[in-house]
Amino acid sequence: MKVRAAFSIVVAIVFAWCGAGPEIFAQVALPGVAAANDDENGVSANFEPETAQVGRPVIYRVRIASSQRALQPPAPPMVAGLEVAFAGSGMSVNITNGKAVTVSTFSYTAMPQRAGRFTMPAFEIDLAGQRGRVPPATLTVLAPDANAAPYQPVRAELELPQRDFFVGESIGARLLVIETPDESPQAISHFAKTNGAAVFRPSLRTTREQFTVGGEPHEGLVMPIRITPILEGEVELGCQVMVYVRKFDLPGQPGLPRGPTTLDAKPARVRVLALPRVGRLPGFTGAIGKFTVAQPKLSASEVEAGEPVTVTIAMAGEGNLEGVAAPEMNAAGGWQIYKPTSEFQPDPEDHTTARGAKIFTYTLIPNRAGLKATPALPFSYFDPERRAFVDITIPPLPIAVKTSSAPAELAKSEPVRAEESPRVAEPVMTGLAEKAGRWTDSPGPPLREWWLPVAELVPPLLLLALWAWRRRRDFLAANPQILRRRGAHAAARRALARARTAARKGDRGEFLRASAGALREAASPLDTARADSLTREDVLRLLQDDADASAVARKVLDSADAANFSTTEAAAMEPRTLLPEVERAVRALAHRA
Amino acid sequence: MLVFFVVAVVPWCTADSTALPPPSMDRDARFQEASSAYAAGDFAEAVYELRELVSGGFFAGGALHNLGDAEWKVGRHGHAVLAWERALSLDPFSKNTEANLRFARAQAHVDAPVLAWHERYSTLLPGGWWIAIASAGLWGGVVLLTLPRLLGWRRADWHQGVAAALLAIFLLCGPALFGIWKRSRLGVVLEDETPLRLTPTREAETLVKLSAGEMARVERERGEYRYVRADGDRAGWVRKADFAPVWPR
Repeated sequence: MKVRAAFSIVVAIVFAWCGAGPEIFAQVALPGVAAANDDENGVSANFEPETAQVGRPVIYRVRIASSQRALQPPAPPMVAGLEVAFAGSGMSVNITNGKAVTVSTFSYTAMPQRAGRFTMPAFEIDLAGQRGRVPPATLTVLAPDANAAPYQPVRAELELPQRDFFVGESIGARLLVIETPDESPQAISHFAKTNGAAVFRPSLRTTREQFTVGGEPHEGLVMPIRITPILEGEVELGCQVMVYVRKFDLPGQPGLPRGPTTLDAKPARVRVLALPRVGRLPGFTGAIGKFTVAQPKLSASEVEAGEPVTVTIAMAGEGNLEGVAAPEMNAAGGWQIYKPTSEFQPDPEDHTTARGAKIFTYTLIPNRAGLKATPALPFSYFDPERRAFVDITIPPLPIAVKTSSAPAELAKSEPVRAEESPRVAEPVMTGLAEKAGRWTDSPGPPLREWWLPVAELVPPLLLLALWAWRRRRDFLAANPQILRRRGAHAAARRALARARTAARKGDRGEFLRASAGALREAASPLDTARADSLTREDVLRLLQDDADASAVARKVLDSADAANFSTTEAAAMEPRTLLPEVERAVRALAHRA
Repeated sequence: MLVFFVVAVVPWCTADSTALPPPSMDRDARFQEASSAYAAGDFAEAVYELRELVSGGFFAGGALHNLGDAEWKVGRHGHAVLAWERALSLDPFSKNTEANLRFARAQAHVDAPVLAWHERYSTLLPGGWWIAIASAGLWGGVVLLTLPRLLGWRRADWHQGVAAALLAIFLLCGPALFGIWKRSRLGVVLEDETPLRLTPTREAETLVKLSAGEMARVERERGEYRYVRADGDRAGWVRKADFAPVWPR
């Protein structure tokens, strides 16, 4: 084995490297070590180191020497008191006696929770379609040293100037990822803000520096950030970063990476003020910071009327230079002034602050000869430390404007050409809308509103109802007896109601007239004649199958006829007794109809 | 017939105003305050005022246009493009908003989204107009064909002529309605360097990074992530916080 190991030439190439550092590669690529631990299947496992303290992580490593292609990380079984998490994998190829052997290594971070002897039991894994067996491994965990400090992971803090800030200000801050005796930050892979109170612009350049936090010196990663608060009031500025961390096996000895870890920077509570409404100076276009303006440059000190000249103004300093708009120059006084251009130039040697310069270029055309100076340019900025607006107005620049030497015709056409902007082809941002427009509750169409399908259903439902009504009307026109029967029934019901009222009042005459009317109305659909033209015999003929009803009808009709001539006959009737029988006779007639 | 037109068309004409939440703030006053702050160079305050309106569920073409201007000034380019896209949805006739979107894309070196012909067709009018016109065309045509028969009116040539015209209008609205439905999935990348991830997890591999102001189509959602497809078939998961649909749901 030693001879084989000695002659083995390691030509390891790491194909997959998931968060692992060069240490893994070095350990994996040692064929002697790997070969010494291999079991019969070419699979080995061990803890490194094999003795640890409670709360101090160790590495559990599985090596598979017989695989011919990349494998999925095996899932070790759970061991009570031992937290195991995947940390990374690597693969190398060893050429031994002219034969290539692929070695896959999977590393896990194991954090012992208590003292004792832990055994990671043997478990089976899938080796590209074949079953393999990972041998057991043992870890001895000692009680923690009473004087030892607890495990300290890396932490992040946001370093801000100690003062109040203003809305729109560009604040130079630093994100500090602090190294501890147990862990060291390696790189920052992702940055995210935790609320919408400010705009964060992290720098891509992260450096390792020594710094002081809470009066104590520390070392770690420093990421410059520019923060622009957009909300007024007491706000919390926080952020979240993903950091690649390496843990120390022993103090000062770097071990395996732990993989990406998400850190929440301790939120910094700051007070953000609105810019003062009083004391604003002319030419304020939103510049907040500390700035200086260099001596403006004129492209020529002597020009002819109608000849363009440029004024270049360089504003330098630290602040929100990138978003500062160009101040407007007063066009009065015989000058035609075009929309200025601007260009932001960050400081190439200072990536930690919002330092830089902004160049404003104005193109002016004198309309007449004799002008002696360019117009003044009102300009100001707000100093957040002094909490005051600072005037940096550009004074008029001396210039001599001579009479144009161009022919008169050309001179006449010059203003026409001057109307055309030299940057007309470039897109520019338009101004503000003067009116808000019609307010709505959504910028999109009501595709998902509940009332849309309901409103769409209303027209077809109305059409359906109209169609049903039309069908019904046509049906009734073709069957007029239905309407006649319905009318007769209604009239019979009304007459019966009158009869009931008369019975309650004891009005025998009215009771008899109403009862006779009800009988005639109920019988009318069975005859072509109208109800009031039906005779006693017509009604009785219709009831000849029902002796009781026929008797009641006869009695009522006779009494009604008699009542027209003699009150004594009508008085002999008892309406309350006769009413149920009348109702039954009317029902019998209605049923036949 | 008038009843049918009223039932079909009125909801879209009045829904915007009737569905609004109660005016807890003076919208127009806030809009004017934001305009004044912008004119004074206080862009952050203009953003604050206008975003408060939008957060309160108040959208208007002019307000969104100005919000885009202010967001651009404070350097939130993705938010600016989102505001301008929303403004253009409400008022597709605004040449200024169109110009600002062209300006923003030129400055940020971002291409405009590639729209199919029916999607471009649907941008000719506001989305609500297309739905109202299509409804009026369909049901107006159906009513004109059926009502004379149902009510026993004498059939006239103009009934059939107008019905044919209305149904033709409905058919012409079809592609636009399909375009609106397709455009309802468009959204804007809000933050620069937004990672497009392989899986909807924080530790997922980053496939490519999207620029602020880029537009993409949402295909599905899971948890805090949306699966989006940008031009060039760049598809992956982005955090919801980094990507906003043009038409919020």
